[in-house]
Amino acid sequence: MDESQSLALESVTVRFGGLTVLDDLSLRFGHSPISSLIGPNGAGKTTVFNTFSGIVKPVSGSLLLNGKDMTGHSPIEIARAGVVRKFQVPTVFHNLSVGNNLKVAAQSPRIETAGSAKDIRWSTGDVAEKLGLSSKMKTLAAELSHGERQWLEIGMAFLAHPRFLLLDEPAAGLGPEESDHTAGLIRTISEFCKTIVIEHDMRFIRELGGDVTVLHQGRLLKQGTMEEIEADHIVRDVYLGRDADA
Amino acid sequence: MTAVDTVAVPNNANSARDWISGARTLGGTGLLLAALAILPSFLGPFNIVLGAQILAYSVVALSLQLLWGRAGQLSFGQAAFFGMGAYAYAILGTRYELNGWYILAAALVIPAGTALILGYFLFFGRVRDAYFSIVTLAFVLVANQVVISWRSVTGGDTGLTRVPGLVLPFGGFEVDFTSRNGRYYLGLLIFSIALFVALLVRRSSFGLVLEAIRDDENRASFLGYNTPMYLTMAFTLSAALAGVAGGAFASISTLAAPDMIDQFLSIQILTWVAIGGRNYLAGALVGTVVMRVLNNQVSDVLPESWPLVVGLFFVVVVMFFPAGLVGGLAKLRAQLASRRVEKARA
Repeated sequence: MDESQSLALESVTVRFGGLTVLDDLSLRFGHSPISSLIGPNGAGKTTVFNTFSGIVKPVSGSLLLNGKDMTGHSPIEIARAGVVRKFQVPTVFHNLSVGNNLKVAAQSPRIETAGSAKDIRWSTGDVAEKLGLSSKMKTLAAELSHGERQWLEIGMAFLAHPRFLLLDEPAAGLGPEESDHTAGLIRTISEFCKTIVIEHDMRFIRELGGDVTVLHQGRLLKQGTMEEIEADHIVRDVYLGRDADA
Repeated sequence: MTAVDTVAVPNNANSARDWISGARTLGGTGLLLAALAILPSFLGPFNIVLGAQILAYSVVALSLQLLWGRAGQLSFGQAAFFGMGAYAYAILGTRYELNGWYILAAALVIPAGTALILGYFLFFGRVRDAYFSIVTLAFVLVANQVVISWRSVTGGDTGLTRVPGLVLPFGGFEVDFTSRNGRYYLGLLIFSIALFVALLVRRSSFGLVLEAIRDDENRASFLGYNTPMYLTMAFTLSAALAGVAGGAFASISTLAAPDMIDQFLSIQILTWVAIGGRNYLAGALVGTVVMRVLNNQVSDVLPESWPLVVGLFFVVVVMFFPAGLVGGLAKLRAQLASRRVEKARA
C-alpha cells in the first residue's frame, strides 16, 4: 500500500488507570479521501483522535504518519506535520473576529512538504466564502451561532494546511440544513486533504460517502464501504440496530 | 477555483479599509505626540519634570499592557524590570564615564535578559495566570530585597543620588538630555518609541497570535504555534520596555531609590493600566496621567488620607468602566453611533 498518504495506528494500547480504552488496535486511514469513524459510546473513537494528535500517549504500539513513526511526539509537532484537529466542542478564538480567526489559522507554522494542502494558496477570503461567512469577517466569533462556529472551526482547521483533517462530531447539534451544508463543506475539503470524521448520525455519514470504520470496545470491528458495513450483521447487532433498516 | 475571482474584490476592499484605519491611527498618534511636544511651553518648571516622569511611567504602563492586555498574563513584576533599568542606569552612570548609548543599552538588556530566563522557565513550565502573577510578585520582592541589602553597590535604603542625566552622542555632535526641557523630551522620546513598538505589535501577526493565546492557548498550540515561546517573547519585550522606562526615569529624576523597585509601584502600574483600559493603547497614557495627577493633587490637600481617596476612585472606575476610561468612552461612542443609525432608519 502507498504509505505517502497514510495515518495509522499499529497495535496501539491505551489505558486510563485500569481501563483499557484501545486494545491492541491497528487502523489505517488514507486510502479514501473521506473516512468515517463510528461506534457506540465508549468505543474509543475520540481516544483514537487523541492518539493521532499526540494528546494521549499509548502504553504500547506506534503512531505512523506517511510511514514515519510519530509515537511520543508532542501535539505541536504533530500539528506542524499536518495532522490538524477539530474538537467536539467548537473551540474558536471567541474574542477575535472571524477574519482574524482564519488569519491565525492560515499563518500557523507548518513543515513544508509535497502533498499538503499548503501547495494551494488559499486566502482567508476564499475560505470564508466557502464557509458562507464572507459577510461576517468583522464579527466576533463569540457572536456566531453554534453552526457558524462549527464551520469557522472547520475552515480554520483547513487553513492550517492539514494533510489529515480530524473532525470530531462536526454535525453535533446542527439542524438538517446546517448539517447538509457541513457535509458539503467536508466533501469540498476532502478534495484537498484526507478527512476523517467521527459521527453518530448515519444519515450524515451516508451523505459524506467514503469508507467507514467501526470501533467496538477499543477494537476494530470492521472497515469498508457503507454498503459493506450496513450488510454486516455483527455491526448491525452492536451498533446500527434499527437505524440501518431505516 | 472560481472562488479566487469572487473574493478578489472584498480582499482589496479590506486592505483599503485597513489602510485607512492605519492612516487614521498614525494621524491620531502624530497629533498626540505633537501636542505633547509643545506642552512644556505651558507648564511651570516643576510640572515639566512631573510631565517627564509621567511619560516614563506611561512607558512602563504600555509594557504591562502588552503583556496583560494582549497576551492575557498579569505581571506584578513590572516594577522589578523598571527598577532594574533604573539601577542599571544609575550604577553605571555614577560609577563610570560611559557612552550614553551603553548605559541605555544596559537598562534595556539586563531586564530583558532576566525576563527571558525567568519567562522561559515559567512559560515552558506551564506556569500561567494567577500562578504567574504570584511568581512575578515574589520576584519583585526578591529584587527589592537585593537592592536594599546590597548597600555597597545600590546605596541600600537611600538609593543612589546625583545620577547624571543622559547624553547621547550622534556621530560628531551629542544630544544632551540633562536640562529641564531635555529631561521632558527624553520622556517624550522613549514614550514615542514605546508607542510605536506597541502599535507595531498590535498590527503584526505576532500580536494576533498573542491575542489568540489569550483566548485559548490550547487551540493555538493545536494549530502548531509554540505558545510558550510566544509568551516568553512577549514577557521579554515587555521587560525591555519597562527597563528603558526605568533608565529614563533615573535620568529624569537624577536618582534611583528602592521605591522604584517594589511591589507598591507594581500595583500602581497595574492600576494605571486598569484605569486607562488594558485593551486600548491610549489607555496607558490616560490612566497614568489621571492617576499620577490625582495622586499629587489629593496628597497636597489630604496629606494623611489621600490613599483612601485614590483607592476609592480606583474602585469606582473599575466598577463602572470595567474596560477602563478609554474602553468606556469607546463603548459609549459605539452606542451613540448605533443609535444614530437606528434613528436614520426610522
